[in-house]
Amino acid sequence: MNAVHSSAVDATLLVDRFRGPAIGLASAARMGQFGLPHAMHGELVDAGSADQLAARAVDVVTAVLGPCQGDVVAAGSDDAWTLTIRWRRGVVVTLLVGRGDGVVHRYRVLGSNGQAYADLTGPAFELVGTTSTRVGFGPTPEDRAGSGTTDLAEVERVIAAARRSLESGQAEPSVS
Amino acid sequence: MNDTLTVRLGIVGTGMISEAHAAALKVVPEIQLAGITDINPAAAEGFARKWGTDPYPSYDALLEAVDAVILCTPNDLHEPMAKQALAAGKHLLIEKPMALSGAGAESIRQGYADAGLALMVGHTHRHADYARAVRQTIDDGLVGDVRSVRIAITGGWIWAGWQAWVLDPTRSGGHAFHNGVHLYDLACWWTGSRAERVYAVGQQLTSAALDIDDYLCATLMMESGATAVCEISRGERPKQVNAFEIVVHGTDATLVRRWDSDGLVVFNDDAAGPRPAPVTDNFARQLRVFAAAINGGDAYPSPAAAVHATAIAEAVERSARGQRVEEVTL
Repeated sequence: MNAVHSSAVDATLLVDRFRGPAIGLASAARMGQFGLPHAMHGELVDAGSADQLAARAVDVVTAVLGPCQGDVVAAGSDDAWTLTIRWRRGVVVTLLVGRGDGVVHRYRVLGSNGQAYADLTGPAFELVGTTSTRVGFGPTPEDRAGSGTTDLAEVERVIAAARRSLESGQAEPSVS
Repeated sequence: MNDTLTVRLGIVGTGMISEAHAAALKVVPEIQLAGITDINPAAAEGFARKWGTDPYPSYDALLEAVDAVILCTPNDLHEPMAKQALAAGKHLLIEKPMALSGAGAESIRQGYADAGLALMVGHTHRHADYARAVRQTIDDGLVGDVRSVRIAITGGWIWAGWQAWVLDPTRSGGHAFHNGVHLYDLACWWTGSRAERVYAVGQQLTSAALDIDDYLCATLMMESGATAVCEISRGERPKQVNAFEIVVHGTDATLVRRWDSDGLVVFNDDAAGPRPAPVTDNFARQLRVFAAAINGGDAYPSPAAAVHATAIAEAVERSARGQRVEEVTL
């Protein structure tokens, strides 16, 4: 059963672009430090439904690449989506998102003059004992509330296209 | 010594991959390197001197002298030369891609099955430490049911100059055939499922004059409901950075191979980035499986799996050209 009839995107979930590595990644991309990106790929495994997770990931990509202008292909279930997006001409984005107990949250940007790897579970220490855990430090996204705005309408356009693609099995435009 | 040590094997072609096979043969005593041939006789003679074997003036002459061949020729020659080996009654280890179409690959598989001869396709990643570890982790039930997979192998080395046959889509089939088949085969193996549909995006990064995509990202939609994003690139910068990432997301856990998972990262004046760790020779592992197949064992991966990987490549190239979702037909 695909999550194609879920409610609209919950704007309060769109905080990941305010995580430290996301801020740095978006800033570097806007300044052209990797040249012009031709691809961006990410994974987000966390609590929540697939459409919520996808919205969070799409918001991060929007912060880095700007608004989506191309087609979206989505596949998956209520628990996991895979999005393949022609973000704009010559730029591809893929996002693997899924419900999970642990957290995986990272992005990779490939550009004409370099690459970047961002792990949004950082900054964090590794605490190694009988089990291994991560201990975060520094400001949280909530600490940065008010430091910027999300692109809710942009995210909703992409997620709506993803829902249509889940139903049609085809590429669906993100802009009409 | 036993009876299995009598397999006489010839290599066809003297390129880089032939060298890997010849080196592996040194540690696989079940098979004897008995000959080499190449369209360039001087190259065959040089190869023969280096590896201690005999050069043959033609493919036909080599086929007469051996029990089995490894076919390391350009991709467009795989199908006709495989059928020549079949007609001569020779066991065959054929480099990937099996053919430049799913139908062509299937005709080779069927011919070899009917003849009762060993057929194996060089999906060497199946024999690699990392790939076996991923599969074992899934088999051990640690991931649960696989929902999605990512395999990314990206680097910055293009295939030499404009003379390189790999850059000619009529000879190589494009990136989906030349390298993509490795990833598509792994995706099917790890998800335990065949691909039903694909959606691919290709780019020409190194030069707008390329007739193939040097960057190709394909999303496979599997019969099981899982997905697999398979990304290969030869056009990244800095060109020294080779990234290799794997994600297997399942109902119980997510397996992640990070850019630094090999455990060594070097920053110096020439380059910065991860360095690969030493591995078990996957070509030698592959040859041992081939030797066992010649003696009645199972080829691994199966020829049918290799046919499917070829059919996926065909669909990926169609999708990248047409910018639409395509069905996998075999």
